[in-house]
Amino acid sequence: MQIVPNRRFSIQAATWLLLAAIALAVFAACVSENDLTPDQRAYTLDRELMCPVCDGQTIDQSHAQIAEDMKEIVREKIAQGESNGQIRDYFVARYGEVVLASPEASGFNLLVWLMPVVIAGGGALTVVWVLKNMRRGSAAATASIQNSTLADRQLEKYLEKVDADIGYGRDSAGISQTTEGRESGNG
Amino acid sequence: MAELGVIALLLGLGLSGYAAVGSVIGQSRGVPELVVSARRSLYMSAVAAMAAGLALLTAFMQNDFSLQYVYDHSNTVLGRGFTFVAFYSGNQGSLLYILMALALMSVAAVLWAPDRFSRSLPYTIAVLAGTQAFYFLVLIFFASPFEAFNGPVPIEGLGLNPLLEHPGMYSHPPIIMAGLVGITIPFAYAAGALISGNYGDDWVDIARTSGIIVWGVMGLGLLIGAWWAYTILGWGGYWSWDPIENVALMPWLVMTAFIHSIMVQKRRGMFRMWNVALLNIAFVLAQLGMFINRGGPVVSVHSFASSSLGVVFIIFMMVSLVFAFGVFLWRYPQLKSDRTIESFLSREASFLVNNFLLLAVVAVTLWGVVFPVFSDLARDVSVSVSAPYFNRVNGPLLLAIVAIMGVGPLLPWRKTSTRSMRNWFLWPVAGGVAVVAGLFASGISQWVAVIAFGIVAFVALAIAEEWWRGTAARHRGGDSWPAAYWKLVSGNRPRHGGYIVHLAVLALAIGIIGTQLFDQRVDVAIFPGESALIDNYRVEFVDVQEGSRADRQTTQARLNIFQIDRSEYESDLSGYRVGANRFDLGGGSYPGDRSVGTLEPWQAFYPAYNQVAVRSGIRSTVFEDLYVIPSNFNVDGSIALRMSINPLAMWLWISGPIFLLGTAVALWPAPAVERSIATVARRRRAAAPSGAAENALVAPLAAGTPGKKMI
Repeated sequence: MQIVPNRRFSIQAATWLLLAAIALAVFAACVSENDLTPDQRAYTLDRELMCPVCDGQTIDQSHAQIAEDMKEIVREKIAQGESNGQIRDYFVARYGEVVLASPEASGFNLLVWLMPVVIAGGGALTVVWVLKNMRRGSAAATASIQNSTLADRQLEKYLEKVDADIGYGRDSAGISQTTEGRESGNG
Repeated sequence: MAELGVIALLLGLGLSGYAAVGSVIGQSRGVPELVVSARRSLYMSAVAAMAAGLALLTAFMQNDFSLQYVYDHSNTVLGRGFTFVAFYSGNQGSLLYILMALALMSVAAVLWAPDRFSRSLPYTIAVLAGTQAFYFLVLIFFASPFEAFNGPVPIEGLGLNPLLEHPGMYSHPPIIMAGLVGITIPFAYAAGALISGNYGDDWVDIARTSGIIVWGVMGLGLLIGAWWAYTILGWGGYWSWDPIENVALMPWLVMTAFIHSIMVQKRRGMFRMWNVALLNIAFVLAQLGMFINRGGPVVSVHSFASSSLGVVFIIFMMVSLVFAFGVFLWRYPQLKSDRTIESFLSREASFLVNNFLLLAVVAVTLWGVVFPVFSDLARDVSVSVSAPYFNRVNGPLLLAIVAIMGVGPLLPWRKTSTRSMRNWFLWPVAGGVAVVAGLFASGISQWVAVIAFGIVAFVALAIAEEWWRGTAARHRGGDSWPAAYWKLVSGNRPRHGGYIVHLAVLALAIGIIGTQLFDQRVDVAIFPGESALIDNYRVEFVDVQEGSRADRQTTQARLNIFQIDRSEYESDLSGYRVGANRFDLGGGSYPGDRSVGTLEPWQAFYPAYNQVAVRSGIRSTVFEDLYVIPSNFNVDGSIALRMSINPLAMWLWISGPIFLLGTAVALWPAPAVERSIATVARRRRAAAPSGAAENALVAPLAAGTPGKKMI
């Protein structure tokens, strides 16, 4: 139970950081745009433009005439060699920002994109902070385990056996249901 | 009938109001008679709610169009089977339905509470009755389903919105509504325990069980909603991050966090405050959902139940918020943890990370839902925050949740040795890496998907490993393989039920990865006799059949489906091609063609509503769905088809039964052994001096430990 604070702490923190890094990499990948065929680009754009007359539907989902017309325009503009940004701008100029299914990451709308990063980052820091604080307190907890009563230790032992029974960390053969029953009955 | 309904509602308001007030006064002043009569009046208010419901149902049965609500939502043509659907298809009726569900669940919650909870039960009753009183109040003064029709009684009603006239309406709306209002039950248990000063863990078992039930019901409601949208509503998707979908998802995610972290309290006596906080958040979010659904400021496709009730619900939400966190802060000092987390690599720590991730998704989603309101207020510019936003910001978080689902169960409670880590993580990690390598080698370039599949494989192997080792250990003890597995699962049902639910989540993840990252789309118009190509399918348009019924005109397309060798069509030796993805074979075929059946999608036009309903045609296999929507029947005789390939879509629905099975296993009462331990621990706690009264399932390990942190 002797704690070697710094080294083990850094190994454990590193494990979580690695997981966080993977998540971040996936996040980055989700944001980046791939090389797409004109058709694929058109369908992607369909999903990024809202139908102006339908409640909460993109032109991809909607069967309304205006949505069909907008899809037509998207395909014409792609054929004319316009970029996704230019096409989006065209629709924003006509219908306002509300036509974009997700706001552009600029100006005031930057907030909508930054907040998730703040939430995730702040949350992660909080978790690390809580864990660190708890670990500092755990030396005291260790002492109290040693002071606990005999019966308590038997219950602890039972729980360890349960862990062992499903194979945690040690050879788990030979612990049968009857042993469990007796342990708990006495505990 | 209407009078009867109104009287029932008034009685219900009186009874639930009395139950709320009487319960609190009776318990705090020590008047047992008052407590008992308050409890009985809670039962009677359920009777009143049911009577009001029966009155409305009878009005529907009798086509009583003197009631505005019946006139608005039914007519004489409507099939009797859909009377129940019409009942909750509008704002007032659905509120009455919610009240009925809450009233019945409250009765069950009170009857089911164990004896040792009796000191807290009056306060729980007060919370339940107070919530009911709110709904009675709304139904009487703001949204009465018994309001009279203004003018001479019409002979025919407006009828049910045709989009709702489907058996799916029997399942999705009532289930999700019951689940959302059901959060009141575990919330009321926790609030009751706190108010009464019962800081121990007496409320944990019932809050956990009722929490899992409510969570299971909500999960089922969400999944059926997705299935219904995909198979019936004909827009080709199953989840659109619509505000109403989001406000139903958020409480479910918080409850997911709760049913995980409550296990830590049950097993280790930690996270006490946190668990109460989670229930508070879930309850308030459920109220937020009611507010947004009933006249909130956000645009949604679920807007059929909107009304001007927004103010009423936002007031109730504020009251809930202040009440829930008021009680929480008042009792905060008493909610200490028995123990502390000893290691970053422990089950407890992984639960903490799981909770953080789930709440991060909730916070991010909430932010996306309310941002348009901020934008309106701050700059007077309307913006939309829709699927592309939520996919990008929630996608990585959800994937991380799947990953932690594999990591957490492999870590033991308290702490992990390096040896045990190596021992347990070796095979799952190796399997995940192998899947990633295999997928890359097979030429799949979307590395997001590749990594996601790798994570899914890792989690699946982690579960398999646990089951394998546990079963093998018991098998060596002399049991046959099936008996060994059965004993393993029944020995710790919460855990193994949880694993089964995790498998359901993996199935869901597979479906989401497939449909979101590998879908293909082709839009094309073809004439009868012609075929359209998508991926390895040829869709041949045979003909159109027109039909008409009392309330609608239907147009149905007959489509023959072939699986093809696409290269034959690309080289097109016979010269069948007439356009992009468009072929006219004139009765001919290529050798690789293989008929796999027909699809008959249709469109229906409802003149009375000027509304079109579309039913898609789906050919489903475990690998992929061919999904065909007839987006237009053109006047020149051609049909505009919107075709898509949705890979692995069936896995979304496979997850449903697995989810239910796992939930049932987790809920099944613990075997006698574990119960007896709990009893022993409880008895000892009762005998112990009051300073040591705080503990969990096991004995008071850390009683009186100074300086420990709490969560």
